[in-house]
Order: sequence, then structure tokens, then C-alpha cells
Amino acid sequence: MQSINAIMDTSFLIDWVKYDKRDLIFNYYDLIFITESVLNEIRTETPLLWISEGLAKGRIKVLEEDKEVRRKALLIVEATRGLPIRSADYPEAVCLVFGKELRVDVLTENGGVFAAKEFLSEYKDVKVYRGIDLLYLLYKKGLLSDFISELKTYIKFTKHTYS
Amino acid sequence: MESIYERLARFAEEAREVRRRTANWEFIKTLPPKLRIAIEYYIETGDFREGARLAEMAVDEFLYFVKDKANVYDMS
Amino acid sequence: MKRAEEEAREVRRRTANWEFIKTLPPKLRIAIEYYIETGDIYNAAKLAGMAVDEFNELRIKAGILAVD
Repeated sequence: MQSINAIMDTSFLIDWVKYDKRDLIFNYYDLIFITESVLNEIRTETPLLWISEGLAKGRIKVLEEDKEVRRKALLIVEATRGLPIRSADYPEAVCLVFGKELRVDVLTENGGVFAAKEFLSEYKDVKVYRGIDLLYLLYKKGLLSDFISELKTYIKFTKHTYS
Repeated sequence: MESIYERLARFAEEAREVRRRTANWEFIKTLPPKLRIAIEYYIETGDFREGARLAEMAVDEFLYFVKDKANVYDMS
Repeated sequence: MKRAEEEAREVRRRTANWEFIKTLPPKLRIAIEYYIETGDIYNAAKLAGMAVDEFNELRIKAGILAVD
């Protein structure tokens, strides 16, 4: 069976690790990628321990950015500047580039990434999910029994809500 | 029919309202100026990276502080 | 092979200066602990936000013996 992998940015990671059922993500994805630029933004224990455990189990891999990825990410940042919402920041833009190149789901809470998908046709087919979307995917796969109840729990743990 | 720009602008305003409304302003007012300004900036703009830079904190340190201590919810 | 890995982990654990490790900020402490458990200096350096040679210096400072 084809493996499904994902790449996770800072905004998603910071919230997801606070969720008590966070490890269910490994029942959905075979591998979670985290980029060096995301890792460089993390200094606290909870996310670092989760990443370290995932690395040790071979379920998380750290991706390095090469010159070409950097160039494409900066184009995304530039393209989303001046939009009414926050632009896609560099670490999120890198995730979108990798999402396309590696054909992996992009996990982000950054509105700029969603906007980039609308404005840049080359990224329109990249699957981008927020926490609420991933919870729904887990629910559809039978890993969560009550989507609404889990969503309320998620919002309570993460202080992240959805429009 | 709403254009994509209007939709994005409406959403940005909604997210700002959530940050403003959920924030524990009593607590924020007690903070030293650098941190208070960083949090106020984040509440107004949603730019957590710049907020973290102003507060001289890592991104996760800043967001956890803002959420756990100042009760600021974010929205996407 | 598995026994050799287990032995190497034991050497890393035993030689580590835990007093010193406990004083490190979370990022470095967790990276060092990851290294002790896995021997994976490459990812440990990434966790620490360091180059491999920098992390290797930290390893030495923490008294951890690297076993091939």
C-alpha cells in the first residue's frame, strides 16, 4: 500500500504536540518531515521531546533545504506579501515547496500558505491541512470516534480555534 | 460575490477579533514593556514571528507564553 | 549487531556527566539525551541546532564516549 507522508510547519507543530492524542498522527502518516528551519524555531521541551522520540522511532525525519528549495520558498514569501492576511513566512513556504516536490501533505495553521495555493497555480494541487482537517481525516479513518468532541478538546488544549 | 481579497481581509479581521477578545488584558498590562508591546503587536497583526523577535524569545516560547499565560487564542 | 548497539548505548549512558547535562537548556539537553539513546550524532546535532562538529564538542564536554 502506498505510504502517506506529511510535512509539518512551526505553527502546526506548536499546537499539535499539546493535544493528548497527538501520536494518532502516526496511525495516519507513515513519516512526518520537519525542516531545519522549523526545528531552528523550537526551543521548548514538549515539542523537542516529541520530535526526538519520533526521530528515534524513525517516524520523523529532518529535511535540509537546498538552494533550489530556498529560492522557491522565497518566491512564495514574495508572492504572498501585500495580501490582506499575513504572508507565508519562510519556514511555511519551505513546507509548501517540499509538499509539492515530495508529494506529501502539508500541515500548517498559516493562512499565508492557503493563500499561496490560491495565487500560485503550481501549488494548487498540494494538499494542505490545518489541525481541524487532520482531526477529520483521523475521524474518517476510524481513529477518533466523535469528531466534534475531539475538536472541542483540541481547541481547549491548543487555544487554537477555527473559522 | 466576495472577491478572494475581501475574503482574506474578512478572515484576518475575524482572527484579530478572536485574539483581542480572548486576551487576558489585566495580565498583559502587568508585563514589562518589551513583552507587553510584543504581545500587543502579535494580537494586532497575528505575526507571531515578529512578536517573538520583539520579546526576544523563540517562536514556541513566545506562543506558549501568549496562549498559556495571556490566554490569547489564535484562529485559522 | 543489536547487542553491539545496546552495549554502545550503555557506554554512552555510563560515561555521560549527568550533572552537567542537567544544567543545559532544554534544546541541548534533549539533543544530548537523544544522542545517548541512539548514537545518531547527525540528527542530534540538528535537534541542538548545531553543526556536527560543534555538537561533537558538546558531546566531549558532556563526557560521553563515542563508540563505533
